[in-house]
Amino acid sequence: MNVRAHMSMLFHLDKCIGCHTCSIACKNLWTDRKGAEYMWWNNVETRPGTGYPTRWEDQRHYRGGWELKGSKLRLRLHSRAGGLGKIFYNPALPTLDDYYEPFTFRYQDLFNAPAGDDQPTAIPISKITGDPLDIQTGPNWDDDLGGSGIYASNDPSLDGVPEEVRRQMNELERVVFNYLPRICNHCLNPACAAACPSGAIYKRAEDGVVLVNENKCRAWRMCVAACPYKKVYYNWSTGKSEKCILCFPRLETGQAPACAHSCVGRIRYMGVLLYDADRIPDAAMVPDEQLVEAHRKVILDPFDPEVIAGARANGIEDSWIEAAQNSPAYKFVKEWGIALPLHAEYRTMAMMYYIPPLSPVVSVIENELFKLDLADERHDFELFQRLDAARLPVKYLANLFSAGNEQIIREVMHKLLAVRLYMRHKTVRGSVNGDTLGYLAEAGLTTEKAEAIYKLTTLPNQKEQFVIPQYHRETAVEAWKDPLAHKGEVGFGFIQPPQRGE
Amino acid sequence: MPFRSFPFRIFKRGRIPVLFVLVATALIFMTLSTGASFDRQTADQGQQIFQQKCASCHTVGGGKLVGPDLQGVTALRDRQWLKEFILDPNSKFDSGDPLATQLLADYNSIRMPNMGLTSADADAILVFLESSISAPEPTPTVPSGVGDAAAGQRYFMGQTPLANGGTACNACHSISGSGLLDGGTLGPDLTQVLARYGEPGLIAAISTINFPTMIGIFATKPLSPQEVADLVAYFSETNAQPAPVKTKTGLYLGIAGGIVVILFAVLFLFWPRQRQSISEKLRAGKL
Repeated sequence: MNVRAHMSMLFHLDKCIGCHTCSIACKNLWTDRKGAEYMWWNNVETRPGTGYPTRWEDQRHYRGGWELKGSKLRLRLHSRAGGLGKIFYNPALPTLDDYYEPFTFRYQDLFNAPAGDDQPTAIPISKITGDPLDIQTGPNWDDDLGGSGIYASNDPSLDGVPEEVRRQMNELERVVFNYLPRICNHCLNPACAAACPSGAIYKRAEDGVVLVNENKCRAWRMCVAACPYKKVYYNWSTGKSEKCILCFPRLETGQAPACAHSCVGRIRYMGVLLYDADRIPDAAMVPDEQLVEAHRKVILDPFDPEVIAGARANGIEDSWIEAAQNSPAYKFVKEWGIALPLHAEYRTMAMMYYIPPLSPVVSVIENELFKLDLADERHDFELFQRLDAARLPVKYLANLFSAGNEQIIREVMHKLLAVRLYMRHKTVRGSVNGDTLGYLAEAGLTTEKAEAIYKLTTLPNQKEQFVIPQYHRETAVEAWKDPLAHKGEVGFGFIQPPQRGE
Repeated sequence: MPFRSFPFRIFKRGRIPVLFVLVATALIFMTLSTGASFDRQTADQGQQIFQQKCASCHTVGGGKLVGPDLQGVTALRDRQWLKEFILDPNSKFDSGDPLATQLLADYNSIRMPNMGLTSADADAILVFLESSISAPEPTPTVPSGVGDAAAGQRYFMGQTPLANGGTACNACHSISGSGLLDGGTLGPDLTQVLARYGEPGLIAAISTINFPTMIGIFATKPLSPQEVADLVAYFSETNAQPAPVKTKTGLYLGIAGGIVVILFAVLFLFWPRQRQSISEKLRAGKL
């Protein structure tokens, strides 16, 4: 056993209202620079939709992630020899059009326009060239201006959803969407790091943050193509790749990442997960339908004395072990089993987790009136028994969160619905009947667990939401410098702006 | 008051013309006194220019080289015609001037290049030619018949670099049968250059390279006497070959052009698909 620690973020999708505050916080903090105009290290997508960059999940085109070939795991992008052959021309790279041409508006026109018969308008201009621009798309066009006929119906994750259901999803009375916020998944088996010809990408030991060393980056851009989540971006101005850094400077000072901190709906949780690095190869090489289960097995129980001993042997501080025991990520992912990694089939072992969203029941038309597709009695339990009546097809959620394994999604949905039924009976009716308890038991939950889930979902304070241990940078500094000298000098270092070819 | 100041003002006004007249007189005298040596000086300048620009092809009383011996030319020809010819020989040849046409026929159809002289330079040269001084002859420093034709070919092809760093001949000139493309096409074909220039003329022309295009390259990188001898030996060898009826350059250019056209055709097939991003395809309904 090789115990290591990881900082993981968890997204409760039922709570996301799609306000993009996280994206703006991230933009203002990190990507408000020349060359980074088009980057959204954190973005929020409307689902079903094509996402950002357009159809990023279409790996037949973008060739991101890993694929299992026989008993070996290979990059879908290229073999080593193939990578050398395509090193100067990589057709799998997304173009700027696949992201979008960043734009702003010439607001000065509103003040400077000469007097005329028409109201002056602020015309859109490109943020790169400054020229007037006919805006064709944006980082979340469906959310901005609609166009579901194009964007929602071309969602690659709808593959395998029956044609009839897909048609129904476009009908007004059955239409459904949810939001999907995305940051870098800081994978355990990062394809970006594996594809980098310069060896510039690394996963740092103390918390698993995947970083680009800009001194080593030589702009080959293989990481951009190899990342299946398209979360490594190329800065055209500096000639270096950039990506989400999980706000490590904030984490090191005990603050949650800017996206999580600014989240209006408080959908995000941060916590430590302990994992067994030795199990990663096996977990990444099981058949698709077992991937989520194998992934869960890599995450270790922080209360297990053997794990604690292993963690100490690997130099993990006691405060980190304690943080792992209090970690909301551990509770949601492992203890309650309701949080899942995004697109486990990419086999990068993503370490950011999602609690899938619930959705309303499909409506039907009876006597020219809309009516929920439910029996007249026992409305509460109907959806529990007939998950197929939910507007978001189980198959769709399974494509997103469980590598196509519908059984896992059903289990998670049952748990979420059981907690909801239990708490509704308890708070609205004042008592819990036997049926409700029966459903709770059927979902594999106890009343204590249900209440704990309810509490952490709806009423967490910030210390429960973000369990961030001390980073002890001073001990890390000891390895290479006198800590007192470092303390005196820090902040007076040389600033090295990234430069092309250096 | 105005009455008394009147003569004073005249005197004051008169000062400047007086000074001016004094200075002007002095200047005129100085000019006149130097006037005696004026022609002499111009003739010296003319001699210098002649040696730099003309002596590789012309002599004064030394017999003809590439071009005619210019002794007594000013008595033979009209001065105005001579000046025009020196300043712009090409327009004289092109306009079909009878004298120029006759000269061209007499001298192997080698046109005198435009040497880029100013009007003052031409006057100086004419003054020099009118004077009785004969230019010291740039005796060919290379005795004929000592060159090695094989070495000359290596110099021509650039296989042996020229000692002073000059560019190899075949960068711009061609000789039929030398290498794949026979050489460059900027300068004329040199296969029968010996017949055109004659040996003394050719030696003079290569020793003091005075052609406007070449002078920029060879002014500071002259050829050594041995190199000149080797090259002349090589040229006398190639002189026996028939002049190239037509070079292969057209063929090679045709092949290259064909390849370019094929590449553009391939590009034309693939370019539209390559340009369209997945996002554009989506909006165009092509996905």
